[in-house]
Amino acid sequence: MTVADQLVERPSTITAPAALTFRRVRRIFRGGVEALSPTSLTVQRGEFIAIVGPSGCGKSTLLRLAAGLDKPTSGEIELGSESLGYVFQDPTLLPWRSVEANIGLGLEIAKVPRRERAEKVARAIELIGLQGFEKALPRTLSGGMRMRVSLARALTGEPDVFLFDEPFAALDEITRQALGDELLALFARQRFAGVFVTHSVAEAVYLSSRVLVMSPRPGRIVAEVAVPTEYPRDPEFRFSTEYSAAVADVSHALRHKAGPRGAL
Amino acid sequence: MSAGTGTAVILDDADEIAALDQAELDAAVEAGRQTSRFGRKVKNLALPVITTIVVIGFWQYFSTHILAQSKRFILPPPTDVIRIGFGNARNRAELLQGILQTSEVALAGLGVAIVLGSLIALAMSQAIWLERAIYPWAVFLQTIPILALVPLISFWFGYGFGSRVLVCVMIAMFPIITNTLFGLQSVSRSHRDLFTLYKASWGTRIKKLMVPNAMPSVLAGWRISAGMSVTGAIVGDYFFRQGRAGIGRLLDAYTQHLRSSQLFAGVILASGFGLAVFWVFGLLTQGLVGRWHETGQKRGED
Repeated sequence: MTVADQLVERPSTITAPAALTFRRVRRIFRGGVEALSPTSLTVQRGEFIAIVGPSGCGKSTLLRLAAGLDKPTSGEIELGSESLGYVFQDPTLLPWRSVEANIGLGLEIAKVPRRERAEKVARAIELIGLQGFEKALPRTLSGGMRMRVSLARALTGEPDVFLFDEPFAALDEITRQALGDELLALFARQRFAGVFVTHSVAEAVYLSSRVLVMSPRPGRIVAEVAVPTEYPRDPEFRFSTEYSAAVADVSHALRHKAGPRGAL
Repeated sequence: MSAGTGTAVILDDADEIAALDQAELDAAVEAGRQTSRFGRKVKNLALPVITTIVVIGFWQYFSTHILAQSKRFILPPPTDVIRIGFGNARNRAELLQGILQTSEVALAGLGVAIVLGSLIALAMSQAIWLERAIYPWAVFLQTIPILALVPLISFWFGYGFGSRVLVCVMIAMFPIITNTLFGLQSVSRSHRDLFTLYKASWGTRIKKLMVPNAMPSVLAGWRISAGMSVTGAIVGDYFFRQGRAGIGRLLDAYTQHLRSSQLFAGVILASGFGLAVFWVFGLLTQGLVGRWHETGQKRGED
């Protein structure tokens, strides 16, 4: 029995449907490359998980499949909610729109009335701490601020399921840690289900209660590391023994199960 | 903090030192910025003015002191060009009438080229088979020597305004098609994904993503085409001789009668017109996309 199969058979004590379920989902690209070998996983409501793996292990494919941006070759995907948040690796802001117009884009496309839109945008701006930058254009902002705008935009959809595709990968370490803390604060308030794809072990452990380790070609889940520390977590968590132990476990799994030799 | 074995020394007075001179520092930085901005403006303006004065001065000297009196018609001195070409009321009226006629043709041609070219590019951006079907024709349009087609155009459409405009359209449309198409196709994958996640309709996608994203290169296309359209109108003047005379026909007439002062005045006016069109489109670009896109920003700043 593979690790992936054990994941789906974990008995669920919660009667409400899971936030996200993959049942033996497989994706083969045109040309025959197997990006994702049959994978099963369940993300419960209010659960924050992370997926780590080397480049090209299919973790982004997994996320794109979950969001409906890509269709599986076989298998089933079930989303427990209609309201989905997705944060891309780059902030994907429209450079001709101001911060507030960017944040309101999704609402605008969904034809939400102007007044309601303005209220929701203002709330997201407050939640992310972008006050004073409403009229600024993206090109005048730093990378970290742009990512904040991107987060605020995703928040306006009031997502129950929040998917993150290496959103902080292009940022410097200090900004990255700051945004990680902000994300945890947000999680504490909104209690969405989160799937955070990253190739930073430290980030994965810090944010999530469960880290799934993927191996490349064909992409599959090879290990799962639990991070039992309760939320809310504060920056001191980074210096705890629980944190170090989890980082060591994930690193070990990456090295021995997801590495080129481990794949053999 | 429990972690680490190293010693962290915290400089308590660092903030105070920084705050002390902050106001003075700000003032100094602002003053420096003012002077350097002013200096840059002077430099930007002075250099081309100096080269212009040098060139005109040399031209004047060459015409009056080096060329023999009998050969002066080859290069009339600038003073003659101004006195005869622009100073004489009748000559001036003739030239202005000509440039007006030419600009009407050029603008009409540019307008048609923009409308047609944009629609063609939009169609091509929506379906790969349309792009494959049309693109060779667009290239063909660009490569055929328009002059070779003049007899055919006159044969079909006569020698009047319509034929002149048609020449302009044929010359000016290609850059509009290619630039617009490039702009429409240069939407990044993640932006497309974003709109897919928002379940945006086809129309919304075009209006809120593709068109604004394409604007910088669309405007670059307009700017190139505007210049080409002016050229097209002047070339058209040489061949289509019905109706009011454009600047091209005047240039032709001046050449044949060896009225070189007026010829030079005409050339200067035509160049000035081309420059003005280029400048207007530059302003348009800056106004429409300068806020967010670097091609629309003034050079020499930042």
